[in-house]
Amino acid sequence: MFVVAHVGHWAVNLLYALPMAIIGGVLWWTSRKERLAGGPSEDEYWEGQDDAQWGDDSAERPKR
Amino acid sequence: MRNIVPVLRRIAPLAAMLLLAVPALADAHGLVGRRDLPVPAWLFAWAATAVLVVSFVGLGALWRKPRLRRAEEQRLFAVPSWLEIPMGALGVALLGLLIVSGLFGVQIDTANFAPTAIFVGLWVGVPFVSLFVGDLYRVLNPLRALGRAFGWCVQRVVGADRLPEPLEFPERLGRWPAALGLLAFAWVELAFPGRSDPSQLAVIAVLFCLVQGVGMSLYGTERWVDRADPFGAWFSWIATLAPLRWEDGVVYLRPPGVGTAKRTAIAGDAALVVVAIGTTTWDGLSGGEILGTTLADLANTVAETGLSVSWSNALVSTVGMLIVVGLVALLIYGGVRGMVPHSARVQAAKAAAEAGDDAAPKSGPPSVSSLIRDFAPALVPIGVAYAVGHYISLLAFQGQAIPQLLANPLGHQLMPGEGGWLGTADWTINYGWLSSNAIWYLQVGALLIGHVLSLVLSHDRALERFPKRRAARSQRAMLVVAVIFTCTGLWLLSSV
Repeated sequence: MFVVAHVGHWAVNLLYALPMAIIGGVLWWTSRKERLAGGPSEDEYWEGQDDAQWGDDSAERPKR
Repeated sequence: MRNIVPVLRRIAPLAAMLLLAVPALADAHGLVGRRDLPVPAWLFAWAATAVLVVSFVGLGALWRKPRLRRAEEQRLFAVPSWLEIPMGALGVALLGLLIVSGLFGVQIDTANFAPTAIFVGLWVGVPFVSLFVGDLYRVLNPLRALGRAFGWCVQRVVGADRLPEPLEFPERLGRWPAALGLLAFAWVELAFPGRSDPSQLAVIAVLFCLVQGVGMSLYGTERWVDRADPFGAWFSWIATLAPLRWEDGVVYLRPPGVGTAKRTAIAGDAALVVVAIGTTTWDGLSGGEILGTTLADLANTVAETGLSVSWSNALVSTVGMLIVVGLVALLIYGGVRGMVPHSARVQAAKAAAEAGDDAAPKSGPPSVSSLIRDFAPALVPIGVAYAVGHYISLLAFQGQAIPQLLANPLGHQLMPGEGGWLGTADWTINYGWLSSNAIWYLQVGALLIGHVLSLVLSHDRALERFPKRRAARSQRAMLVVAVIFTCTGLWLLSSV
């Protein structure tokens, strides 16, 4: 009975974790194409359109 | 340093799962009895997740352009500016009463005004009221009132032109001093062995006043209060959620949450929210029977090294609190890190690479720290939701003790029927006015509203920050973060 009670106790706790596991898993799976395509590396510097309204944060990045 | 980023990215979700891997625990401030819910409590977590997912999809489909920062406020009425003087004086009087009662009153935490004034009145009551009426603490703040009064007096005596200008507050510090101050306050509340001792609390209050006084003298009252006063800084963020805003003697009406979207975050603001969420989570985790026993065992083990039992407990609590704050920070880092590939610069770079354009000038992706700063306002409703869920029962019941303690702040023995100077000393706490079920529904509602509002703010900000096609998709990781916080919060609250 002790084991059953404790397993049941843990199982109830896991029920709270299930929704986040499902949502996390679904989003992880649906974004696999982007990950496999190898998103842009932070080691690469490139041109892009800057968001002027947010300012330039390049000073915060490590100098190389 | 860069090598650590992929590792952090991988372990952030694991860190969050770890929060749920420990057994159910009671809430330290849970003053509720047994609930009689029609469905199991965990089903609320599932339902809340469904609401968050539907909200997320709805935002992506229907909320196509940024609206919140463009929303207009309605001018309601003017308030005489002299009202700040009696409000500030009231704050000073309450601070004085707190210190005097702590130092000279009965040294029983439930009979003395000081502990309840600090942990219920200041820490819970003021932000709750601010959530509805705006930044109450700003006008009540006794240190701001004293600083302004002192400055006015010195100007009159010495002359305004002979006073030196205040030092320039280092911009790069942002609100980090306030975040560290908030962590220190949480330590006093959750770990300090003397947290129930009125006289020790009064001494800490005096030390806090001295530090704040020196800071205000050096850097100017308003600047210091804005950047380094933990209560001023955190409560001002909470007040941005309110439908009312007071400025220069005028009260404005606005949709709730618009103020949060309009306020620009600076360095340290995200840390304020992380500290608020992390310490509240630790309070919920550590207050229960199972972790409580484990913590006591750990403390006993530490005490075998020669440290006193009370300080061993404090050490274990301190480490536990810092670990949970770190896990919360890691989780938020992971959520924001997931936005980087969706930024305009990254998308433009990919397009340039696909088009074979090699002659592009160099520019990099946005740094995670800049994104965390930009999206910090969207985290504020989560911090507030955790505070409301966690402390609502404390405010509902222990809050009733404030008039009673205010009438007899030193806690002297009174004759039956005596009401103290205010006539309220014989009031008793009515534990029956709010049922356990009602508290549970309020907690669930607060968590849900807070997290949905967080998604709305985050989505609206993403529409400004990222290409519109990518805005909703950029927030997927934040949806996971919101689901994790909601389920964790409900799990902690259900364990009372």
